[in-house]
Amino acid sequence: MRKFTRRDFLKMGGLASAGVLVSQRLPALQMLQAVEDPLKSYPYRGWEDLYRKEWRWDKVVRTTHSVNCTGSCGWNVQVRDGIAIRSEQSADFPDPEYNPRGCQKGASYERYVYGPQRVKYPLQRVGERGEGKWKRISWEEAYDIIAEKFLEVAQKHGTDHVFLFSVIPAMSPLSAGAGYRFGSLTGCVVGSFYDWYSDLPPGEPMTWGYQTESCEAWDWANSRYIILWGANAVESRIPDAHFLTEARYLGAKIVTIFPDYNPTSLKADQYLPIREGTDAALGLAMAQHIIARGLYDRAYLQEQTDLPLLVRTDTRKFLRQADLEPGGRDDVFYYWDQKAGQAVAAGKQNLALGPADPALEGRFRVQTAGGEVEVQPVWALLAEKLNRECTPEIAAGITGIAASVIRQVAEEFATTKPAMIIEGAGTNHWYHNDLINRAQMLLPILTGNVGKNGGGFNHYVGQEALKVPSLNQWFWPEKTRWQNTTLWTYCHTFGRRTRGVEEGWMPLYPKEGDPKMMIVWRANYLNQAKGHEAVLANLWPKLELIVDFNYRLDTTALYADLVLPAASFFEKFDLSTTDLHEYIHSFNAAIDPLWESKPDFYIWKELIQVITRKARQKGMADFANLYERWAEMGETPEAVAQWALDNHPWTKGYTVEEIKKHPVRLKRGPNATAGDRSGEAGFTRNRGAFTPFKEHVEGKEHWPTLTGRQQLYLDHDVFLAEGEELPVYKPPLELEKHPLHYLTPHGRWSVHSTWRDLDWMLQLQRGGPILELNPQDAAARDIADNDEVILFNEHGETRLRAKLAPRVRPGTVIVYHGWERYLFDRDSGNWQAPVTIKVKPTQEVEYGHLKFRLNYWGPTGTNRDTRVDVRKA
Amino acid sequence: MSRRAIIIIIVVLAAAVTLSYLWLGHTGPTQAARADILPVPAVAGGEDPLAPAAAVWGGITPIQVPLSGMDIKGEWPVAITTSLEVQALRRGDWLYWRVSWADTTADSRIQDITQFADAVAVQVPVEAAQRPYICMGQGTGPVNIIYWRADTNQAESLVGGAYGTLSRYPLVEAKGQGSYQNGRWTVVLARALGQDPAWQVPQASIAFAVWNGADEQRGGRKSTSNWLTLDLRAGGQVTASRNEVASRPVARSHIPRRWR
Amino acid sequence: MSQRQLAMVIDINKCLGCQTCTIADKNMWLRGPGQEYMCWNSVETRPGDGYPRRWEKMGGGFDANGEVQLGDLPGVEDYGVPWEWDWEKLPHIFPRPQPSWGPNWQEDVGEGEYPNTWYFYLPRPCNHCNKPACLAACPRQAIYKREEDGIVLIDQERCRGYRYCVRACPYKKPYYNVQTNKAEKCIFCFPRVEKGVPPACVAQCAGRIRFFGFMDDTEGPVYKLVKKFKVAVPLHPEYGTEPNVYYVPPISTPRVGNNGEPQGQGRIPLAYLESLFGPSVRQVLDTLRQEIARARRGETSELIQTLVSNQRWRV
Repeated sequence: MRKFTRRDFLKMGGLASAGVLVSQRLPALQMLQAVEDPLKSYPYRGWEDLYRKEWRWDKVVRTTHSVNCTGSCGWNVQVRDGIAIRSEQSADFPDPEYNPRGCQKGASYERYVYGPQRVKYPLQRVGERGEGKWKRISWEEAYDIIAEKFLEVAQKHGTDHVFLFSVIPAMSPLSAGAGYRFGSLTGCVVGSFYDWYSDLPPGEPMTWGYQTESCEAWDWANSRYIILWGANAVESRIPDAHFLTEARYLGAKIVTIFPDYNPTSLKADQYLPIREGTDAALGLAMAQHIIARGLYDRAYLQEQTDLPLLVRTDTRKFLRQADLEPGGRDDVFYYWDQKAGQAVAAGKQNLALGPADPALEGRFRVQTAGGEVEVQPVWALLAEKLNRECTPEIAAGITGIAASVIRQVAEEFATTKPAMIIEGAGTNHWYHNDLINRAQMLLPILTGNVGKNGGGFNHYVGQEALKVPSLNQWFWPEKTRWQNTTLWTYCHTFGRRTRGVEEGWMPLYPKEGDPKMMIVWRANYLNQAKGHEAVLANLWPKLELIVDFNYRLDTTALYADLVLPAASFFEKFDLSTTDLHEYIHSFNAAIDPLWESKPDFYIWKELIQVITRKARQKGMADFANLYERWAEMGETPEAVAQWALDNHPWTKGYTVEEIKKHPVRLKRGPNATAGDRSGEAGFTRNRGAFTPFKEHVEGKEHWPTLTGRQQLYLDHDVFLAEGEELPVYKPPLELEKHPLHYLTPHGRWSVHSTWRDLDWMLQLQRGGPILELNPQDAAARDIADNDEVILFNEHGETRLRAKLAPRVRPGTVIVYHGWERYLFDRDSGNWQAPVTIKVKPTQEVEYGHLKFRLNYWGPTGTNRDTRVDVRKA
Repeated sequence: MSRRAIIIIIVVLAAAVTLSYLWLGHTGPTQAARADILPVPAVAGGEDPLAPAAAVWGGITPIQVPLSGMDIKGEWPVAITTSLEVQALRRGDWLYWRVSWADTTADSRIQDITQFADAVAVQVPVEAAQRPYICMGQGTGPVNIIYWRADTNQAESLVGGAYGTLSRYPLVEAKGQGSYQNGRWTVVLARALGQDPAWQVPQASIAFAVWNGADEQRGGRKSTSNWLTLDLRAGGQVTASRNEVASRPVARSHIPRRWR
Repeated sequence: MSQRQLAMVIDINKCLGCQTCTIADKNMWLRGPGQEYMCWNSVETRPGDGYPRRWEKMGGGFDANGEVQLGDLPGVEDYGVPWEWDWEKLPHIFPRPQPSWGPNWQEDVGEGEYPNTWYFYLPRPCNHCNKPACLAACPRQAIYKREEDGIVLIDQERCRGYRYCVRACPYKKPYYNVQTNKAEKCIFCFPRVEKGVPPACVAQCAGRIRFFGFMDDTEGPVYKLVKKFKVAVPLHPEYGTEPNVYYVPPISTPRVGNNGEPQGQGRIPLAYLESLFGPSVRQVLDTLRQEIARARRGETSELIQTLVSNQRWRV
């Protein structure tokens, strides 16, 4: 293992200014030739080599980063004298529209590789948790401690007392899966992340039966009308934002909907300054207008959605076969065929209607086993509800957007095709995110834009799309104790149980008692936890051993008991995929792991070997063959990757060796390669760009929902009780508590907590955590720019510096997400201090297609419904 | 008049000038004498004269050199250094000068990009027999400049052949060391004579310049002396020339005129 | 004048303000001692004080007679003191000295009252001017313009750190290095360009906003945008240095009423854009709007194709 100091790294840069530039070879007096006109010629150009020598390297290694930004970018690392001196975007994606991919954060990653944040050796805590006092131990000692504790907990309490947490396998699935597979084989609890971080758009599983499906970014350029709704792409989707500005040049209208006039709105043709958290009202009012003006795609709705399905007006439940026939099925639904003049079972073969003409409007009477009942198509219920509750005039009062504007945007969206909504964390992080999603989704559904290039509801929050699907088989060889992390954190922090847990809809581990042990890798659980202060106070002490694998000493590592030095992204092999493009590409080791670090895959491998050995010694049969089972698909990340590629049609035929060299495009969709590249010279609209759901819209396959259709009506009792069987507007929570709304958007300077503590990034901000507020709100509190302020509510207090920005909507304050706890004062909480955990009942039900699955269905850990105040420190 | 007679007259005049200074209140051997000839006594052995406080300097009579401000960018110095006290000696193959002047601020650390360092330079012809144009010499008569800067406390050997041609001059070695005390800089500059055949002469021209960093003096913005005569014979004597005083150009911008 | 001239076009409409150019540049050339405060390429939010702070008020450039003017010499506090963090101080670390200004201090601040706030990004490398004020002011003639490509360089051997170039450049793009006692500046990445690779800020621009090539290459994007379609204009042409970096000016997002009602006119005052880019900016914006309208009608526009092209450089 090579050992380098930060000084070595720094020495590699800036040789240009290294100083002594004596040209000994030149006879000294030759330098006395006067420069007659330096605009014309210059006699002393020999020195220019000084800069030429800077742009050289011994080798270039192509790799990527494991960060949950959806970038999945390509980087060429330049290595000189064994040091990764610099990286540049590889710009080698086969379709040049995707080049270059990579932002300022990726470009400065070397500063982490050699930075003071780096964990160099296995560290054992010697002070209090979070005190930052460590003892260097050997790998053998570290493995020994973990293995002994694991076996002790397993024997005394059971492995459901061990919680494993690692996020976003798509960003480095072999590093993630090595631990997931361990969890699956041993019965440890494996925590979710996509719902916990509120990146899951619950409206998608509700309506479509999918976790999330979005088009690749190239498809944006196929659109003629793009609404960016809570999706601050210019800041948080830097590698893909050019598709927006280019789509605008190519004739698309860009509309942005945000409470603040944010950087994405700079690129808009129209900006809607919406009141925070009222997005569902806006979406529903637009839908109301589209329906009222008849601008919807009737045939599409009849075929693709549940809008023609009949609902009993007495029970508000779907009319089912079981209602009509004794012993009838619960999953056969009906529409009213206007040709036949009777209720007809919706086809189970596929979505094709044939000659049928399902009614959307009207009330009908149907004879059931229990007597005649009145039924109405979902459409009629929806239209009546919208006419009653959410006209543009009503919504104007809620959203602060004039009715005329709501109508104008609705009409344009409905009549300019294809049209899409790009949704993001700005709307997805609210407590009622499911309702907001469903209201937003209604617009492309009503206008027949879903399943079409350039259209749809495209949600990009979190890099959840693991596009090497067979890896899931490697992750989960056994039935696994999957755990919704929102519930795990909520219940173990506050000592409460929710209805979903009580009803058995959602699992909660351990079944009895408290969790005892936690292993975190590829994640920063503690810093990013909603309810951060309570988690630290209540949950943390329950954990007898907290282990973190990490290349940098982040907040979770700082508060752990044992920190194992993980290899950086430049020191290992892995794979990477994202929602935003259709390529698989790889990490490659540009340099050997520095100091004593090891890739996550190998840390797990060696740890599992130690556990297996000790289990045999102790006669613990459950784990006696653990390593052999773990290694079944391969003992190296390359071997597992090849196994995975070989075992799915999207990836079959690709080799690891090829992927190590350059990205390969996923073999799926009608145009699996570059697609139809006809079109304009230079930039090419790819009409074959991947967009989801064509198999339903073109192929007429059923949707994976209870009704087999895009399902807007959910007739579960909890939804009915909450009045949420149809999309509805509900205001944000806790509006009365404090005068200001606390918004924590994803920004351009970090990917969650990563890069929050990097010098170059901080130097291009204000050096530390800041709170942005409107000058009006600042003046009312006697706060000047750069003043130290305290942000507070009943959950906690945070000290930061004020930045006065007129783009911030009065009545809201913004703290960009992800500041590490150690960047705040000793007597301050972190940026999550004012945020608590709230579990929404409709998100933990079990209903048809809505059944708990890791990262697919479960309560989201929302954070936007937080009211605060600010005072001068 | 014979050459010898002229020399005698000059010696007498020089003695009279020296006496008149002493009479005017300058007392003691370390006080500067107003003169345009800088004698270079030879010193053998002893401590290195590079240290500004080296005892050897106590025995060498200084001369006082008047300076005036100049600038080539039209920004005349505000804080002109009006005079220097200069001593010289020769030890082995090296020439040493000890230069001392008043400066209310020691600008010896450049921490901000707006700061300029105090500096001092000795200028001599590359060919000792020549007396080139005093402002950086000329193409046919280059000058060698030993330049000391307060922030590095080191001297560098430079060569110039016209405005804007100043370059490093590795053929001549240079040393320097300075200290600041009681509102005065005292700096020792040294130049190797070595085997330089151009410097096997009895006399040579010499000039001095001082930069006050606090006044943003650098480059052409400085205080400079006239040419003086360096007398390399111990106790030697040669008259100074004053003819450049009137002919010193008022330097202006060198910007190509065609943009005007 | 050089025989050929490399030039750059920066499309502000595509700029993301992400500073990938700034970091690419720092990675390339600015990791040495004395360079910590430097961003040869900077990106500033406008309206705003910029980098260095209030650089437009510092003077420099040429007067009406063509005489080079020496402006103010900015201090490091005008650029932003490069803060440091002492990692030995964990569990709580802070920037030192206490931040009060930085190269991107006014990021996304702008002007105007909500919801009609307005701002945009202005990336600024060295302009590699036809009439470089830095070159004109250097008493040592240590700044020159390369014959073959017009790149303006500060000779790192002959510079003696006098900083007349810093004072004379009205764009404040030469930077003084206290460690080397030399001024430095953007070199248009000539070692890359000599090998047919565009400058780091161009190649690495994630927003794909930068176009680069020889001005006399009539098939190149720079010629097309500057000369043929006339949609790219220099910053502060009145400074008289004839820059070779050109900007496609920003098209305004329209103003809105308090309830989001569109109000027609753009939120960026035309007078403000004219103060940056000169009076021709009005015509440029008209051209852009017309061509976008054509694209919306489904017509093909060579200008639009150039602005969205994958081929953004020819060197």
